[in-house]
Formats: sequence, C-alpha cells, structure tokens
Amino acid sequence: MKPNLRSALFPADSLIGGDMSEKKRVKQESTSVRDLSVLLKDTPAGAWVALSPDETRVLGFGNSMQAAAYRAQLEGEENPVLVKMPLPGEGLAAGVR
Amino acid sequence: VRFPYKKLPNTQPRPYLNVVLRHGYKTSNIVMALVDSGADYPIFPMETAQCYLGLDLTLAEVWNFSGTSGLIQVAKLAEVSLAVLRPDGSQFCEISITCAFCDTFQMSGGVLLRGRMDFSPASRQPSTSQKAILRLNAGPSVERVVQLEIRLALAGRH
Repeated sequence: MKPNLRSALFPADSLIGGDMSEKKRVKQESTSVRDLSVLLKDTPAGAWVALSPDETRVLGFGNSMQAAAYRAQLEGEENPVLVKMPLPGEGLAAGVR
Repeated sequence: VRFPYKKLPNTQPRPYLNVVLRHGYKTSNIVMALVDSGADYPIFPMETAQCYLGLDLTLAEVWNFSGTSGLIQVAKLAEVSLAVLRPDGSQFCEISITCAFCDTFQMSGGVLLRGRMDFSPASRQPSTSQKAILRLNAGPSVERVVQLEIRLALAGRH
C-alpha cells in the first residue's frame, strides 16, 4: 500500500509508525548540559558561591549571598553570578506549594 | 532562546536561569535560579529583599508554603522586577512579578523560579496591551534544554 493512501485510510498509523519520525523530525541543536561540577567540586556544600560572569572561575564563597559577593569584589568582580551549592545526596522531588 | 541545563556537584543536570531582581534603583546580584513548574511564586532568600533591594516587608502579605514534607514555611510577598538573562549574559526580558522572600528557604541553587509566569515587559505601557506569557518547558527527551517561549497577547494591540 502506498504511504499516502495508507495514512488516508489509517490516520492513526501516522502517529505511531515510522512515518512520523521521518516527516516530523525533531530539530536538533548543539545545546548541551553545562557541567559546573568540576569547577565547583572544592566548594563547600550549602555555601553561596560567586562565579565569574562567564561561569568559568570561582571567585569566592561564603555562608550568605553578601559574603560570597564580597569575596568576588575583592577579586575585582562587581557582577558575579551567585549560586547556592547543593548538599551531598540532595535530590528534588516536587514543586513547592 | 534555548538555555542549557546546568550540572552542579552531587546533582543531576537541572534547568537553571540566571536572573536579577530589581526594585526601583536597587538591584540584586546575578543569581542562578532553578526553574520549578510547581512553585506558586518565585522564592528568594530574605537576604535578597533586605540587603539588596531595600524592601521593608514588615507589613507585606504573608504566604505560607510547603514542599513534600508538608512542613509549613513562611514567606513575605512583594512586587519586584525580575530580569532573565540569556546564556551570553545579555538581558532576555524583564518582568514585573510577585516574589516570595523567605528566611528559612534552603535550596540548591538558592532560588526557585515559577515555571509559568504571566508577565508584562517592563515598559510604561499598560499591562493589557503588552501582556505576555513566559513559558518554560522542560526540553524534549532528545535534549536537556529549557525552552523559553514568549507569546504576546494580541488583545489591545490592534
């Protein structure tokens, strides 16, 4: 059976068969996971960390946002990116309600 | 705009966005914020409101919230501007939004962003003419990305 006739007779086929993967191919982009785990491996769990704006250098850390930002200022960076380090073994389960 | 997931130590890759809060002329530092489609409000540490934005939340509306444990936490609500930055650091958008500020909020990443937000771009135009939806979707299984999609409502724009 020709593909176009088949899809006309059995429209559901187009949703589960190989036809869909050929016709509606998902656009692939080169975006991948940005791995900061190596950069941050020596920073304490639970601390606030100040990163350089391009997120390639650790400028300092502390137990508060201000403390981390102050360390960054000492390194000459006025606009650090702040992130709070996860605790070991910490997972996420659900949204906050 | 596509935002890559970020992987921190001891965690799986998660959807983080870099954001900045603003209140008047006062701004926060850039903060890496976790996108959470289940959160009712974006939640920030109280330090953000008090030390960076100069907000007096003494009389602000109280919001009680809980996670999976059911343990109630208390936050204060305030209207602020929230700017989302592109991966290259440039500003993607700025929205006016109600955020929660909490003393006891502990979260890897430190901040939760609500996954779906109605917003008005920070402009002087009435919100009805510029109303938009910021939709953050977890990426398809083929890629770990966050997709931001802005749909400008046509109402009032003709």
